[in-house]
Amino acid sequence: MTVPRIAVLALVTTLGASALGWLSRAPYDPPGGATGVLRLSWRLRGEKEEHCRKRTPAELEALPIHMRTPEVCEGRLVAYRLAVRIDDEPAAETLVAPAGARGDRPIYVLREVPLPPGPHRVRVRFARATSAHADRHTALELDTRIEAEPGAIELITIDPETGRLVHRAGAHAPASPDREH
Amino acid sequence: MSDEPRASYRALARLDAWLNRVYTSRHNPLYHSGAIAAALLVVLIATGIYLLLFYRIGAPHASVSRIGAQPWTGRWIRSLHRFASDAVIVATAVHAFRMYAQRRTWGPRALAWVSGVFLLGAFLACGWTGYVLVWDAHAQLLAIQGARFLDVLPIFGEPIGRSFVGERPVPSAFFFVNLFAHIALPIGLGVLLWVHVARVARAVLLPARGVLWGSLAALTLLAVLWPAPLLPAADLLRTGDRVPLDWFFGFWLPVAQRLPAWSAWALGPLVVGLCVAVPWLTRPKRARLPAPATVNERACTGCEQCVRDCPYEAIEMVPRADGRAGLVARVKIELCTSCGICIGSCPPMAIGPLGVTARDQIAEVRAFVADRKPGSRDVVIVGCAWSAARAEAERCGAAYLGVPCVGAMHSSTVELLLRGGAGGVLVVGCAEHDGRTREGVTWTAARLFGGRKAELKARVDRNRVRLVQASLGEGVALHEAVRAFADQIGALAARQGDGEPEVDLVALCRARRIADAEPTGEVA
Repeated sequence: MTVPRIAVLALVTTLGASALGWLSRAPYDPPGGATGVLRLSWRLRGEKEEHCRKRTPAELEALPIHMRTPEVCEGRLVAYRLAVRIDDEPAAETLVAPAGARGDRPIYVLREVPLPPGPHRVRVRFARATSAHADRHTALELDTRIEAEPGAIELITIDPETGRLVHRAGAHAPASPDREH
Repeated sequence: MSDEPRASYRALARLDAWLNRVYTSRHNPLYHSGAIAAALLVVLIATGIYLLLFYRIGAPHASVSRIGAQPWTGRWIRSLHRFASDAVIVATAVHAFRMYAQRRTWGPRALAWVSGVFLLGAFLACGWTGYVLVWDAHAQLLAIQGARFLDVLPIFGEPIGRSFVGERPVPSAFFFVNLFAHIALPIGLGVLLWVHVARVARAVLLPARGVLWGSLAALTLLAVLWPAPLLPAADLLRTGDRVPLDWFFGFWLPVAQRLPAWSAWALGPLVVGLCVAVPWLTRPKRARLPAPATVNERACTGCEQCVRDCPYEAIEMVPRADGRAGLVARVKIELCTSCGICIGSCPPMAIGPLGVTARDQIAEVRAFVADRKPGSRDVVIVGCAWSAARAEAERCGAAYLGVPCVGAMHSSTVELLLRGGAGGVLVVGCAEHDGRTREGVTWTAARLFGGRKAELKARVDRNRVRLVQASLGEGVALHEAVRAFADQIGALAARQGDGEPEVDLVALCRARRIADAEPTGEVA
């Protein structure tokens, strides 16, 4: 093999390896880099709506003796309505149903709304959606001011101790499981 | 369908020719793409075991960071693990494109194609789990996108995406599951690889030594000199920051992040379905299907040579049905690729695809000799359509006899050409590892010079026969071989007292410009 040929071989191999190395780390700009994100995420054991009635004597008679409860209740977990307003403009409004095929699992909220950089007034309301007495039940509400930054995620979640909606800025939330730092 | 080579085939042939000039056909990595991918899996397992010793699911990023801080080993071993996995993707893509361009996808090869699609899918999934284990900004992108896809399925009580909202640390269980999958998936890859080569006799899972060590050296040097970066630990309350992306495994991210999540479940099966359907989409129409080999049972002696030579295990021996004792060859039609290797393996010329049997070859050679009347100083070039033989013969004005593959050439062809007056026969095959018909050159060498059935008879002067490998782009090397052989034949003729040749082949070749060979045909 001649020296020029070896040089060409080495050059082509180097170029190939370099291309592989570069494509293994070529920069990528994910969408949404120029804006912030308002992330709403929580889990809530929703309220149950029950309809109870007295069993008739005939029904009770038909049941085994150990199952003759005088009252029978059928209920379901209710859906909630999530409404987000940013600077008094509606940003999101959606119905959130309990999870599970039978709708008997907790409600999981996971939603992201773009948040342009700068100061914003953010209002979140999470309340029962379908009830004739919706006004009797307490809604989860948050009215706060957020200074959004490009690429930063502002998390709205439920504080497990107070049960209220709270805003957690990026610096306060743990993201990595690394316990050795 | 036109007889013109397809654009994909022409592109592949040009690339082959170019790299043959750089690496020679013996070491052209394109010819070894499948074997390179298989060999790199071993590298991945070896480096992966090392990384596993130091990885901690309770501290994923910190443990990988510590591996990178090891002064002598960790950093480049991790980088080699990553670059080898990237190289597997490249080699697999080249291998698939090669099979597609050469239409080696349908019929008996459909199983290899379909299993190859699933091999690639499983490998991409394995890579996904590996990247997530590092738990840096790159891993965060992949994890969140994966969760986004999964959350479309109405089977999870709690959305998977809630694990990555930044409300609490990602549970170690997530890394345990990923680590388990990252280790378990290669077992599945092994099974798929076994299926992938199930219909191939003597499957080649390691490339030529030079290619193997050259690839390893190049990847190791890359890992040492330009190690893979370890990005900052994942920050689930940051998004949209520029990251160095591994495009071999993250090529789908730019599209996926801009489409609704359900589209992955619509587009994914569509893409996979199209890939899986390639064998049926590329299958020629019935009228153009090449004939499978058939056996002339009366002539078959039951020697079993064709069974040994068939590269696709498509021939079996069964008891004779004609009342004679012994076994007779039978072709398993569903496995036969019509490669014709069996033509050259049968001394009594009893097997081969209809229309191109050894007896057809003999008739063709007789006509060729009658037409060309080769002289004692003439070299007849017998070459396969994928070699540089035809272009070289045209360049030098030498007599050329084309065969589908030199492995499909019966040795009697060579004897008949010499008995017909030719001074010498130069058999030109394509690169052994190109593998269109597999093992063609190996068996031909053994038949012409090693006594393998159907051997070239002992009475034939071996000084007048030469076998060379010269693929597309190796016109210069072939030209040298032709010149040397023509010199030898000229000297033999002079010793035997023949006059000057009518055409001085050597001078003619020297006078003409050595141009590059162009592709001359394609697989039927």
